[in-house]
Amino acid sequence: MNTALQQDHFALFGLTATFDLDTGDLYRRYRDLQRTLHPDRFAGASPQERRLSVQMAAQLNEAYSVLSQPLTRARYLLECRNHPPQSNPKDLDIGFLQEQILLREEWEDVRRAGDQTAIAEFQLDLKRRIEAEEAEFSRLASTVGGADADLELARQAFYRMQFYHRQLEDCQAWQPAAN
Amino acid sequence: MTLLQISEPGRSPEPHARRRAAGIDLGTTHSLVATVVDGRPETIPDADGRVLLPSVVRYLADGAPAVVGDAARAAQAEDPLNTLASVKRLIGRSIDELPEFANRSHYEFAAGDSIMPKFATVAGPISPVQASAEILRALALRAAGTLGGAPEGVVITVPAYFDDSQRQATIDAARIAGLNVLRLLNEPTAAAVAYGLDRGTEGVHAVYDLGGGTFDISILRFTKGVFEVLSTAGDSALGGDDVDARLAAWIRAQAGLGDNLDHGAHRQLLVLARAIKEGLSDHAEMEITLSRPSGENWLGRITRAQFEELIADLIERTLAPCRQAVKDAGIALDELTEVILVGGSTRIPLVREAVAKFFGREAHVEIDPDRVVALGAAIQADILIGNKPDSDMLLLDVIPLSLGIETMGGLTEKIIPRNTTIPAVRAQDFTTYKDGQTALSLHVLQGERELVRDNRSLARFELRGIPPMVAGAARIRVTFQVDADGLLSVSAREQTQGVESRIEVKPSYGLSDEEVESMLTAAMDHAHEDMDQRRLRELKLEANQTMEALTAALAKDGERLLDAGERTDIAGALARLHGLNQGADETAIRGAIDELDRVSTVFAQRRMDDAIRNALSGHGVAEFSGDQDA
Repeated sequence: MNTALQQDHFALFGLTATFDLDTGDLYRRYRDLQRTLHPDRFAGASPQERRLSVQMAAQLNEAYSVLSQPLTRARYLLECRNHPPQSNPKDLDIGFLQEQILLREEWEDVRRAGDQTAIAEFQLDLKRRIEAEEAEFSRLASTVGGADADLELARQAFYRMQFYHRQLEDCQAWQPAAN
Repeated sequence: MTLLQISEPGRSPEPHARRRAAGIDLGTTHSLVATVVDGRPETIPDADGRVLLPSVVRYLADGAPAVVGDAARAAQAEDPLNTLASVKRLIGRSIDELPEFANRSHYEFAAGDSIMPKFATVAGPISPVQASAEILRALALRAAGTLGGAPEGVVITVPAYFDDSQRQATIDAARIAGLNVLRLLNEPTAAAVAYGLDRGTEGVHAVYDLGGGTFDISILRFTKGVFEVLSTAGDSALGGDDVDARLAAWIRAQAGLGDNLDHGAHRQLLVLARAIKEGLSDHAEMEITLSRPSGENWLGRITRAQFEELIADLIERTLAPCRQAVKDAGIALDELTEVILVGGSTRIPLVREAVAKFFGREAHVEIDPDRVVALGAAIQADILIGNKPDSDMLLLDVIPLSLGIETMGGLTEKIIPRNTTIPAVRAQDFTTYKDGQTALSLHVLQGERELVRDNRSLARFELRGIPPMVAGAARIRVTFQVDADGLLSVSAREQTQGVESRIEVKPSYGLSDEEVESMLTAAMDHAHEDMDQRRLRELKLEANQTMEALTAALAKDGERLLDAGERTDIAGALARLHGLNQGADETAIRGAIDELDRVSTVFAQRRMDDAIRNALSGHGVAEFSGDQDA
């Protein structure tokens, strides 16, 4: 096995695992690595190096797509730290469940009224909530060796982040039809 | 790491010897070939100075070579059934997918075993892949004149929206034409490369590419030599041909011609419509003269406004993909730096108006929209063949359509979503649904729809030998890998017991290996050579390439990355392959290639790790853990 192929996503970029990532720095590392590993650099190489290059460039793309977005980065960190998010979490806080229902209702009302300012305001609110959860996640799970209790709280923050993201996507998907 | 300089084993390397590379735009209505001369890409004309080669192939009786280009196009009306045009619309497809081919009798189709359609011609049944191979061969021949020999490698462009089957079929056509394909390059990306080199404007660009038979829209970012495709969308059956058909139908109705035109008259009408369409790009009105079957002439006229009304909905159809691509790229329209027009159909004024209105700005047309794709392909070919070792250009493209697998209830589970950067690899776990189930049938699909029957079926294969377990206990990991040409390979593996089954996906509508082989045999250039000879020749070529690449790598990194014992092992395997490659024992040569591959694995990995370290060295805190014991 190739050493680099076995590495986690952060190590591939020469970075330690953390939620607080400078995405500009990550992109520059990605670009320089891709300039080196991309199959276009191996067009004249042996079949073996060509195969290896495809595998590594693919892994690099995957790692970059995961780490460059806070939501997928958070999920990946939880997976690495043995607290993988569940697809149908059973232990959600009742307050959060109520909040989900309220937010969905609020969106329905805003959407029906069709007031562009209110729609924009609603989306801005979701973005603020996402930022707040990202800060919470960072506080709890940014560094290695966090306590289990903290990781569990981080996972709850992830669920909220994920819900706000989906709600925001719904809003954005709906918008073009209004024009 | 820079590109490897390669020389024949035993010959002294000539550092400045240029290798012969060409870029080919294999288009629906016409094709071009280009190459880099003195650092600039140039399209290569034929002896009469014509750059565009009509993508028309006429087959002749009695084994006479097929005629390609202007002469074939001129014979369309006279010999319609043996003169094939717009075959790109059928490459990698079944007839049923294109009503225009199924219902309108442009051609006659031969009955065949494969789902791929074959035209019935005097030279026998001909597939779109074979006809495309004739066009590629004609272009390669043209390039050979300028390059001073046959191209050693080519980049062939394909519509960004081409699916796996269409890409695979294009590769098959190149194989039949005897070409070494360095890369399949997406047409809008090729155009962006040509513009990037020419103008160097950094930012996020939209490339609107309306050709003879396909439409692509790509949104890409260009910064510091990197072309990064953010999203792509399109319609692989929409283009100038549809405009011609609309106009032809209008003329037919106006002239009072019935619906029962013969093949020749129909083709003649299409040729006329095309000329009128082109005229209406420069004139507000055109006169139409049509010679009716009875011999008398029909005279008519059409204004640009009338023409625009006829085709308005076709142009409108390009805007939904534009909207989709902009949305998928996650940008706002005002964040776009430039809009670039590509493809002959963008000469239609209505197209330019629609694009300007949609994007809110005038589009760029500084580079001839017919040539820009071939120019970009030539630049890429020049780099891939190794003529520009210092180039830092990097193309990061995406897959246009999601790839997935059929799950219970006829639903499609996406594994790699559209607009994922390639190369890409992604795995997903599946499980059994019956107790004691020992086999799993996998159906690989491409498309965005939820139901299996609405997506394209790429392949079916089975994973057998799963140990009997209760339903839901097995863990079957299905891995999709897409290479830089956008081609998929799939493997599946039962996790707990490690039973492995692996396939390379071949398109359902493509050709079997046997069919490709028989077409290779039939191909004109190789008529004197039988299949065994050809296989041996290709094997020897592969052996040579492997030895050249490894020799160059050893010269560069051998001392640094290998110990004496490792170097001896590799040198021994190299010498054995070199010796056996002088002979004609296929099995022995294949064995020696595999052996060389095996003993040099560790070297390849160390070189890769070393390259990674170098790439990261300028980035400070490089806590790179990929250490090795060399």
